[in-house]
Amino acid sequence: MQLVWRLFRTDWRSGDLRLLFAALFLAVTVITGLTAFIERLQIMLVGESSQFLAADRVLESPRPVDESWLAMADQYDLEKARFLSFQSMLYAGDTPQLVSVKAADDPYPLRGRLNYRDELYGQTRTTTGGPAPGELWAEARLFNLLGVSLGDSVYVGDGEFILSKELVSEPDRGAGSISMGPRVLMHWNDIGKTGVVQLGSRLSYHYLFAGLPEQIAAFEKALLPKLADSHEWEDLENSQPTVAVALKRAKTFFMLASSIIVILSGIAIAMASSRFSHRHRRHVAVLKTLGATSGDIQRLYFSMLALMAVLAIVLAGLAGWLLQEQVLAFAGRSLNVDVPPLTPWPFVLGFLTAAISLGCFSLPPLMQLKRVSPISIFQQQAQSVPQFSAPALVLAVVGVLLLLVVYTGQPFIGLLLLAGLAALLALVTLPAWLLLSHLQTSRLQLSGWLTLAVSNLKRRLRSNALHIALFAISMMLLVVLWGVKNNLFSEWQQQLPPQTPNFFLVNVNENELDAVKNWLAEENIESERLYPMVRGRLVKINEQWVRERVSKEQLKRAGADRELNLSWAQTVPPDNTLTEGDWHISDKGDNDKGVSVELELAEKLDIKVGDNLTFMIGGDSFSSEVASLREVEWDRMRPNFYMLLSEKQLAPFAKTYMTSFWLPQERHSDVARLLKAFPTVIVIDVAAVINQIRRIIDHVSLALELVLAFVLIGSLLVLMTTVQNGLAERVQENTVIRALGGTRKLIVGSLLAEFSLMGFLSGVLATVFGQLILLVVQARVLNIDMQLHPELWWMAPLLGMLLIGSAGYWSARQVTRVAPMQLLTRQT
Amino acid sequence: MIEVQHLCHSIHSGDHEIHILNDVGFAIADAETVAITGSSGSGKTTLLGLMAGLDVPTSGRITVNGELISAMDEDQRALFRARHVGFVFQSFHLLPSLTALENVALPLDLLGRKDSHEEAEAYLEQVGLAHRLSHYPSQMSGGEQQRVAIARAFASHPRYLFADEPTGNLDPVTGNRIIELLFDLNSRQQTTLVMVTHEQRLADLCQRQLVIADGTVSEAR
Repeated sequence: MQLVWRLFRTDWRSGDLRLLFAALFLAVTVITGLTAFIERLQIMLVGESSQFLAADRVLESPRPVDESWLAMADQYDLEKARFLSFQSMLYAGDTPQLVSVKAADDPYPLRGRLNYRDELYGQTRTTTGGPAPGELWAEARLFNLLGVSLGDSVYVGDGEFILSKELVSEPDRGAGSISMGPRVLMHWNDIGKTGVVQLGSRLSYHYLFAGLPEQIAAFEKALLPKLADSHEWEDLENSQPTVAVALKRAKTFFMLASSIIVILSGIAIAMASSRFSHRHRRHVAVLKTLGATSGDIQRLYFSMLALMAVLAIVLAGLAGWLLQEQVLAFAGRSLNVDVPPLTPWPFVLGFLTAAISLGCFSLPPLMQLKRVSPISIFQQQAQSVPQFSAPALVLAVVGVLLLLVVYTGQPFIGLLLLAGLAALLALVTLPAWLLLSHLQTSRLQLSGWLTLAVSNLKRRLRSNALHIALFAISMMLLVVLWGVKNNLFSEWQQQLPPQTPNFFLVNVNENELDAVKNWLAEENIESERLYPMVRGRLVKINEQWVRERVSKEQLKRAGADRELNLSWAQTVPPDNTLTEGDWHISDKGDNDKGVSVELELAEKLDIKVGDNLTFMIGGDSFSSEVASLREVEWDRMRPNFYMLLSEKQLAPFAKTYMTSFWLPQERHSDVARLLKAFPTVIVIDVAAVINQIRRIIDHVSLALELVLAFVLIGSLLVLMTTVQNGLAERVQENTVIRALGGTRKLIVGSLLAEFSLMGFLSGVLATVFGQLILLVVQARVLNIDMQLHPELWWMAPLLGMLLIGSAGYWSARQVTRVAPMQLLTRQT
Repeated sequence: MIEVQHLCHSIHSGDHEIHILNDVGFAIADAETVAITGSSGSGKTTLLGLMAGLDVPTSGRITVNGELISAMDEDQRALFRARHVGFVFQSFHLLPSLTALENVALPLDLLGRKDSHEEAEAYLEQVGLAHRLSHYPSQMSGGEQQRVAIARAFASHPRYLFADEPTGNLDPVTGNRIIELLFDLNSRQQTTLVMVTHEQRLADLCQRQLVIADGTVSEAR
């Protein structure tokens, strides 16, 4: 054991063990830190995103649900809340006003907070619970419409309520739910006293659930089979697709990135171990001549490896923990959510990574040491590049596969990644070999050092080609991730660019249209177009009643069971893309009878181009032929419509107008003046929602950059181990050259040129293959538009030249900083 | 006693088989000093390695200390070396990562000796390096390194010492001092010394001289 410790200490000093330790340390730190970080950040982001639902999941039902379902939620330790929403008349004295009522119980909202004000347009405050029984919180426009004040009493149905607060927003009121009447919030227990809930009333019961992800998942699994068509199960994905898609893609990115880090660390560990064992062959021969048995050697190196592993695992676990703790604390502060507890899983994963890496990558070359023959002590063997034996390679492949399976939890993806990597190695090595073997120097008038560099490159053709391939692959992985990160960033930027409209203006009457336009112009507020809006119901498709054609539930799911907002537009509005048919609904010519239908609605109701749709508006009906189908990006915060017709078709009907606009934060109070000037206008504030989405995306982006930095470190590590592996041979050769009269300039120049050239070639290969893979990843994995990344075309070759060139310079220093004599007499 | 009988050794080089030793036989008595000479590539070092149990012959028998080492497996030979054999190499072969003291203590550590450091220190004193205990090989001259190697060779009290061109990497003056030291320790410990050398001056210091030529061994006197 003393010998183990002594050898360990001295090997550490000599740097051999340090590189292996660094590779293992990096792998374990990254895997532990990253897994813990992603696991906890995800809980935080989901927690933050869940505010859009006021819960983790929501069950919506037109009737009260079976009590046993709620009892089941208790079994899974879930938090529960519920509210009932319905439309009702509210009376202030004798003046009626249609309102959208939400009657919630005490735990509501389970996620997020309610915003309210104690005086109209006063300071906004937040709270975690709604009004007490007997109280009513109402939106500002109700006060404007009815001329009531806080503290006044009003009636909803038969129940009397005190208007106690101005309701600013609930967390689950997204941009999509534009309620026609002002929103009022009351206590669940007051539902009875209103007397409005009767058979046939149009009600919507919402059951909210929140808990740990695994509890939610288990509950979901148990509940979903019981749901009927009339039930709607809401999660983040269908309530906030922007955030859900961003999280999903970020998750894919994290998985790809961590797998890449696992692979890079694996390569680095394998290379470092192989170099370590190679450099210890002479040691082992000496030890064997002194009488060490194979068993002694095995025990010695196994103990050294174990000692290093324990050190690396403990320190890396600590480093990983510290790292994610710092980043999470920062994220937690700015997201304003609690940092969830740490689970042991990241540490288990870190340990497994170390165990598999050492078992599969380090042990085989070290165990080969015991077979070193003592007679080799008399052989003046050249310090050639360490080679991997076939069984060691097989074991390494198994190791990478195991790591990927442990990491992704998906054997297929692991296998796919590995197969891809193996194919890539072959694919990249071949051109590297071809490029090197066709380097010509004879016809060029090159200076001495360049000729030496090129001849060096050609002489070690096989190992150089492999090294170039390894450099290229690690850089390529970096290129791919860099590209993916930029893709995601720019897509998120496009989705919510600065000055995304943060207010919707609806219910603008025709007679107020000019006044509102003028007001906006005077206030220098740039709004979208003011779109006309006619409320109408789709009643027939091809002369067949819609209710006969599709089930009530299907109709409800399509959102066509109630009045739709119909509008007209001269040209295809922004955020709309025609997928079928022609935009022939202009007022010119005869084509003014067409309608353009939103794609998803068309699919749900099986509407095709050429179908005849009949709409009912008030007591009148008219028909229109489907001219086109449109895909609409709903999350761009601009007015959009399911049905776009021609002006002529909608001319006879009463209409209101809507638009959206952007107001900077400091001007948000201007909205109050707008509401005072136009009391019937409804302003919907989506700034909070947009800010929340932005905050989430900012954090995901930050995480992405952090992960990329780790991949960069991984690539550098592979680079260092690869350079180290070829170094001994180069040092030996160049010492001889120096002894024979080669100048410092010749050696530094040739090594710099040799490595820079290798770096450049790796960069070119990394760019070509990285760009190709990136296109596939964009199309297949991330489902985003394929695009080229010209910035990468110069970046990777330059980076390769710089990084690997510096490594060349560094190794040149190793050769030139000591006297040739010293190197020539260095014996072991 | 070392007994070599009908020893043949050949190696494969590509498609060819090169016969290095061909039906060699001789015996070396205990405490005898024997030089093996011959031209470069004649097989001197190969013969030394085989007698020391570093390799096994293609055919023939080698008995050392009454044990048939040519029939032993690698681990048995390793244990045999640990107990009975010491080495001095032309290139010293000290472990660069260990100090002089640690290098000398190494064979004692392998034997599981508790007092390895004290013993090693005593040997380093005998070779005149008491002041260099904690120096690393790279901090010492060639002569000093070879003295450490000699201390290491004798530290485990071997019955047989094999030396391969022990002065090959040293200047004549240093070489002389090393040889003096080697023979001095050898006579004090009554070790059987087998030394490969191409220097006649050195060979003459030994009691016997074996010459290898064309794969066979003959007695020089």
